[in-house]
Amino acid sequence: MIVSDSYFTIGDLHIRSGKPCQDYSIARVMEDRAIAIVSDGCSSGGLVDVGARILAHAMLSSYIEHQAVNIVVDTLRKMMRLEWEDMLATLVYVYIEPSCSRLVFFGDGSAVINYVDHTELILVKYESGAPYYYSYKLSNNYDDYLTMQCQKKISVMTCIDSNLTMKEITPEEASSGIFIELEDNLVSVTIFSDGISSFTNVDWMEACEELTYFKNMTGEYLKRRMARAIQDYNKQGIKMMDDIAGASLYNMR
Amino acid sequence: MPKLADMDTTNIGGSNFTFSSTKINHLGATEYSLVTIAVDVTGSVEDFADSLRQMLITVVKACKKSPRAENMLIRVIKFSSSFPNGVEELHGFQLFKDIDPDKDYPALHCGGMTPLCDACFSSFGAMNDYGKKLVDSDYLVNAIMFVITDGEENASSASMKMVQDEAKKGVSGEILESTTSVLVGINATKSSGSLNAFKDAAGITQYVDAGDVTEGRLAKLAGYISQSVSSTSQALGTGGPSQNIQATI
Repeated sequence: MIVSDSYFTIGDLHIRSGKPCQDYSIARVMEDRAIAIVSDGCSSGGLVDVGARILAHAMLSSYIEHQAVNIVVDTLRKMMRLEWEDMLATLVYVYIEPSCSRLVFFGDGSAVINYVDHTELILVKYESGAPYYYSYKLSNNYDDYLTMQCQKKISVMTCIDSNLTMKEITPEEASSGIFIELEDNLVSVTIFSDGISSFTNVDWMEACEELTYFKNMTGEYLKRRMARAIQDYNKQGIKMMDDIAGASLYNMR
Repeated sequence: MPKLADMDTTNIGGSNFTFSSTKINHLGATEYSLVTIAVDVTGSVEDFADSLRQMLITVVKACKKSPRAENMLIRVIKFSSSFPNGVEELHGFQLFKDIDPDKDYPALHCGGMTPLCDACFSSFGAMNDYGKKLVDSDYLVNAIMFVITDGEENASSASMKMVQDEAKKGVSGEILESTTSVLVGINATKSSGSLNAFKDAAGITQYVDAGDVTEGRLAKLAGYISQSVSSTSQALGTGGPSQNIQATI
């Protein structure tokens, strides 16, 4: 049996600037599969809080109904009279199925993958601060994306048992999506937006571990853990500067 | 009522007092208010025992309708010197959806003397112990308790010091976000002075005189309790107790 949960909340910068939370997450378990999705809107975009939600729900709907994501997104965007700058949001998702389980990054974010015998922490980082947004694919705006990169690095950092490795990838490779196959002995996988790296003076790996230190897996387990971790950080004077979204799937063997 | 296998039984501190509670892995929300109602079932309340039972049923039914019902756990205990340790649970901490008060609340059989300290120790202690367990598992928790009596303390095994220590834990805010405690006197006008003094000594938040027992008064008491419970639940996450709990009924 798989259980799931999701949580998102606004960061300090947006509270101070009067902007809404532009991160969104959702997770769903079906009879034989499950999916968790995170979407992070570009703060210099348009109505990206709405765009992030549309993108996440379009991905969910496409997954459930086996439809093409781009058709669902474009249909919703036009019905709501949104522009492409309103859709500038990352899309990170993970699905678990009997035959395969996969983690996918369009844009930046991180993941904590717990296997029976080890844990992997993954961070996808764009040095340009301008990650690949799924809407570039849908609006054929590849040139904009390339220009924003300014030849800066895109890296995939992986930490397994305290061993950190880094792999650089090209903008072209990032735009095709970063696909990571998950192993069979999976216990849980939790994905985060890049807000995971925005806790002042807290390393992304430490934040990943703190935000997934689950006490029990009943009901709103991710909400409890993330809310408590952020509250505890606050008490220590650690601010969460950016919005954060998390979504999790747990395999109750 | 939930199955026994879904409940834990725990000793309060190092004492012989116990309480039962829903197992944490059955609690799916992010936050809970713990509600305790302790009802005097000594000999002197026999004449209105059925009215007290109806009052309890009214409270539970009102709370079941609250939009916050899924975020509240209630424990109901009876107190009298006829029980071991002066206290007997009607039921431990349970979700309101798991209680059918018409079926689960039998007639109250009355007798014995008034172990008020036992009732308060059991109430505070259970809320503190269970509350800590929930907080340690990342739940956000606050608490409210009502001890309803018509008489003065005269038969407890728990000492006033034990009550004071447990009451302090709740008030300090170190375990729970907030704890509100209300001592309710019914038919207790003559004992009002003593009960006020008991409330001060024990560290209970407030004393409320519910007046003489009439159907109307008990209905008002039921309304007061359910309204206070609702206000407490809405205050979760604000960092302090509800500001909306009335000082009188």
